[in-house]
Amino acid sequence: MTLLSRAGEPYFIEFKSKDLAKEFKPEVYFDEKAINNKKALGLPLYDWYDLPVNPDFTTELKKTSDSIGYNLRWFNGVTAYLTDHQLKRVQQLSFVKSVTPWRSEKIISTSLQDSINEPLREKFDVFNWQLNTMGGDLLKSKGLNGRGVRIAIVDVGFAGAQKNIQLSHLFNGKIVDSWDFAFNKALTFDGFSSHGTTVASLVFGKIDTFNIGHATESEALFAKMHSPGKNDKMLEEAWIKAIEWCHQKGAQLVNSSVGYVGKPHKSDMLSGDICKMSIAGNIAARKGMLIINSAGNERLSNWKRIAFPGDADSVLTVGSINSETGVQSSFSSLGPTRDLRVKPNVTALGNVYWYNGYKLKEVFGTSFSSPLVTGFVACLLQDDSSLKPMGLIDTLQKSSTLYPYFDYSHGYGVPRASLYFGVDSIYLGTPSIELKKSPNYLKKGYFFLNYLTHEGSHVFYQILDKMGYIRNYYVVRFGRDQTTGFLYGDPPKIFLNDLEKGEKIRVFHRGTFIEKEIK
Amino acid sequence: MRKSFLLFFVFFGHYLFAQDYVVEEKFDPDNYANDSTSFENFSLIARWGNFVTNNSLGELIEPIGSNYVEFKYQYYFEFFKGCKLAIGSGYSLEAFKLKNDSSTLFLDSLFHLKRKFRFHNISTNFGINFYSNKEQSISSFLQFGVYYDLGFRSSYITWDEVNEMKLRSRATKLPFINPYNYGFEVRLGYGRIAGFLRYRLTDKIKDGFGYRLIPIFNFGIELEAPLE
Repeated sequence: MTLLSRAGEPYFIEFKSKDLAKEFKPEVYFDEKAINNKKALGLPLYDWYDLPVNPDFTTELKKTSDSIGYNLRWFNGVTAYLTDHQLKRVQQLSFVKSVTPWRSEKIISTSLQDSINEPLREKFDVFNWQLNTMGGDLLKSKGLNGRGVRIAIVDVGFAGAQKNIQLSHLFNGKIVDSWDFAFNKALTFDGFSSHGTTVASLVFGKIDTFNIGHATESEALFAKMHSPGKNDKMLEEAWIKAIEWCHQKGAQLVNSSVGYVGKPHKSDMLSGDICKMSIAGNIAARKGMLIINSAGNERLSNWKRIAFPGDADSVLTVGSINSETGVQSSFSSLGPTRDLRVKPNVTALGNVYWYNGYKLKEVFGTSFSSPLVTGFVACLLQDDSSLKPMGLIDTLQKSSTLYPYFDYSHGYGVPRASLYFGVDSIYLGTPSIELKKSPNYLKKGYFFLNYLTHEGSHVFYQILDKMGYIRNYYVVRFGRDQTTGFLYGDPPKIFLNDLEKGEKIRVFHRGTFIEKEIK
Repeated sequence: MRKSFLLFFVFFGHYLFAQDYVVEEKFDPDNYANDSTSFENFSLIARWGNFVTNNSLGELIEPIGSNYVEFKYQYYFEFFKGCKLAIGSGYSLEAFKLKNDSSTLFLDSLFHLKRKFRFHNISTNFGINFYSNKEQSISSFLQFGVYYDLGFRSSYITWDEVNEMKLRSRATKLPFINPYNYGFEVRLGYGRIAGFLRYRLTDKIKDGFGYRLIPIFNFGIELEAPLE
């Protein structure tokens, strides 16, 4: 029976208890790698979340509904399609804690928006260039390639992955397992969508001497959670089940270049504790597995903001920048979360090249900035395996180009190996910009920026409200560009009349960070 | 010339020498969820159709050569499960090829090689849709509704050939055409493709001409593209 032919509406049925009488054996349930991960991070092997859903409850439910979905251990419940009559019966069952409707059916694979074909293999140098925006050569020189790190790719389709030359090394013993959670069957690398294949290439890929992703030596898990057109399982349900499976199989990192937006969800639900996917993201981090999720491509849509589960506190949310401008891609979803936490956390290139076996293709979307960051994080984890998920997020943010500055488009900027290793040459230790007051400060006063070095280059500045959120933020160029000679004009003015006491101006330029509070 | 340059710089100098903002974003937590008018519920509909003629009613047009085209936006909102209300608005063109019959000799009472009426309308409609599946893109549906067309341009075009010269003349603002027309319509379809049938309650030709002339039924196919 397919999802679409089922009677009734989908509900998540949460149970009151788990069956504690049956002994849970972590060493049987978990992959050896998962056990080693937990031991290395000092996490308990026995965790209530991992206990199975009581099978007696499921059996009892089957008497009422013939469309029982996955058992979700972390949420201690199951999905079922229920008519109004069935719903009333289920609500009366003694072991049922709550019955809540699943909220959404709409997925966004964040996303292949467009592509441009480039036929020339000679242009493979572009792979080095795009990895070097994050310090690919430095990672290589340090021997960091993700070895020993297990990465799961949760995506919408892996068509052509087996035949893709960039992933051939994975299929020679580095793929630990794979599963199709859309239909609960073995994953076949066919179908319509190659979105996951592209994403995987940007994590693990390599051709000859060219790396396409940073983590060429990592182990891989592939989980498909959605099939365009038809599905046997609910989207959220399949995604969460896939995440549970990734944890069971010992994944340390999960790249999820999918999320969802749209009705009946609203963007003001982006608080990290409403959507079950977001809650699962937080649970995963507590259990030692970091989910790296693309922010979404919604900036120009009515939704505008990040997609679920990118709102979760412990999910690393990745926005994207344009390779030509160096600032936010026009489509990259904006933060913050509803409760004003910084999102996206970091950014990376959102228009990237990959090789589909016969052509070089440029693809667009935060779907493709996320895997670049995932590969980078794998290298950090290889370098310091003691880092727990929140430690990884913290380290990554501190290793990003804008840190300690952030905004709701770029997060803390692009992670860079030179910043991680403390060898970055951009910040030379002397300020490159200053924030000055106008001479007539008391009458019609204003603040203005003045380059000390690198005139004409990008300056990030923002105004923080008294409540601590960023009410306006900008990236601007002015003066005469020292490289091109182009004249951008006068410095921007921040008039005192537009500011209130307690507000702050923050400026960032080439490592120089200025914060000025209005008194 | 010099004055012109001076004026140009006075008015536009600010823009010529303004700094280059590559990112400008505002954030207001009170306006966080700016999704109250989601475009998910908007569709663009393109229609093409023809007319059902009935000579016994005096509908003297040629179906071949006559066309009905409409482009409109339609907005849906859920009324109850499996049922949505639809409101649409757009532009429609009705082009009628007239038979060479003495009862269709307008304005100049002459026979012509070819004659056409063209009516340009702002169209509006309201309907109620019933779906077989909650996912609109893979659902069969039936819509009952009403429409109202406001004609903003009407023309009567004739084609002739005299001494190997081709002549085309057009009369507009036709005084005998009723610009306000309304009727019923039915749509039956699956997913994004549908067939439609419209029945007009009003006479397109104003009273006093004594015959109907313009068909009261038109039908056709339509494609719908959701604006997501």
